[in-house]
Amino acid sequence: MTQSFSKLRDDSRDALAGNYMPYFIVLVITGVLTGLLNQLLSFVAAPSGRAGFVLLIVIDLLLDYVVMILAKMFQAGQYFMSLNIARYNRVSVSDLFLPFRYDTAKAFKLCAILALVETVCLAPFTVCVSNLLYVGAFGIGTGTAVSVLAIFLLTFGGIVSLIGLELLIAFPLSQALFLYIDHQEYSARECLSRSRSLMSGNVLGYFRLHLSLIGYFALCIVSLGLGLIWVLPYLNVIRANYYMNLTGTYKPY
Amino acid sequence: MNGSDYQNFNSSGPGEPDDYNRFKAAVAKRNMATASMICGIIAVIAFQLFFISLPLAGASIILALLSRSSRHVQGRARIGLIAAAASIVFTCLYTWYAVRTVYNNPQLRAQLEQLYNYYTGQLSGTPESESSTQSEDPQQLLSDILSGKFRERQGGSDAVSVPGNGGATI
Repeated sequence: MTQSFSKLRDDSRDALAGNYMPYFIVLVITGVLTGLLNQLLSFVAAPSGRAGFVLLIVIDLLLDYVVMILAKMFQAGQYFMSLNIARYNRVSVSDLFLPFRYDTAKAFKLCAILALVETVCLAPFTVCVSNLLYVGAFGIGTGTAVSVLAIFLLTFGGIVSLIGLELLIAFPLSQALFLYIDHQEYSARECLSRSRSLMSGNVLGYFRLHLSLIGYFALCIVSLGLGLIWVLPYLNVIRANYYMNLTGTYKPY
Repeated sequence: MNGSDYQNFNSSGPGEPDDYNRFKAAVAKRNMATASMICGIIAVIAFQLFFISLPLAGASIILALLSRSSRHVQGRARIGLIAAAASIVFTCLYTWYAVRTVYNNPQLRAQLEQLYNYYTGQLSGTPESESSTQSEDPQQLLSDILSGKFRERQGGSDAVSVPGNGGATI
């Protein structure tokens, strides 16, 4: 890393100014298509729910995984757009569909692995939150008081496990999609291994970079999600700038 | 190979914005600062409306923060920041006051409960109203109330006043 985080954020704001509208369209397309696939798969799999509770859970997990693969492919498209913004290249909404136009098989393989990693990282957090909701609903339904310790343990355990697993598994692979975009000659496995070597010794720094944006996410909660229109592009362009700074690939073409 | 070894790979110098990009960024940031100010002012004016004021205030602060260059915050963005902060304080105080008033007033609480029961389809009140309406579908009941059929069915009875207090007697 040659630049400070503050300089990365300044550069990202400068590069992103004037490019929020195409990014907004990209986010809407991503949301609509991912949501549609989710609904479609739920509709198709609905009759299998009669087969049994365990089968229902397994099918639900598989469907979530399929949706996450699609979401990862769209994320690759968003990263491509973010790199173009950070490099002051021409930006277009069609950037979103890069993984569907070039080397789709490789993109799918890479996204399937990354989606699996993301699912594993999210699993303990999801279990804790589901239990928390169940305990809350059970407490309200029966009129019994829920132990504060149980609520605290579930919340704390969920957050700690999420952060721990992200740091251990997901963050070292965070540059794989950028490497896929910049280096068409790399295989999916090579993208992952190179990302791991790139991030060695930089994981905590990358985590601190994300932590520095926590105020923006708090504001997104206050604005009931409205702020995500500006914060998500900002986050992605910061990630693109971080990648460029890490590898020095400011002008790869 | 670690991160620092990779540093020199394919390096061709930092990509700097040209004059056109700098101008475009400056104009966009000025527009964002203006949007921040407008959102902040609307948030202050609408501070009584929780679900309008808070999102606008949040968006105003985000726009103000994203419109700054290095550490410099533009004048309009600063106005937006101050207005948004003020509207958040006003909205929270006003909401707290409203909740406190409702919970300290038994009559208002009863009204709130009636409204809740009405919207969840559990009408309460006199035995007549229970017998005549509890088995009905809430959506059907609502359309009956809006079209006036409900009042006709009650035969002008005073047992249920509709719709001022949620379709039931307090």
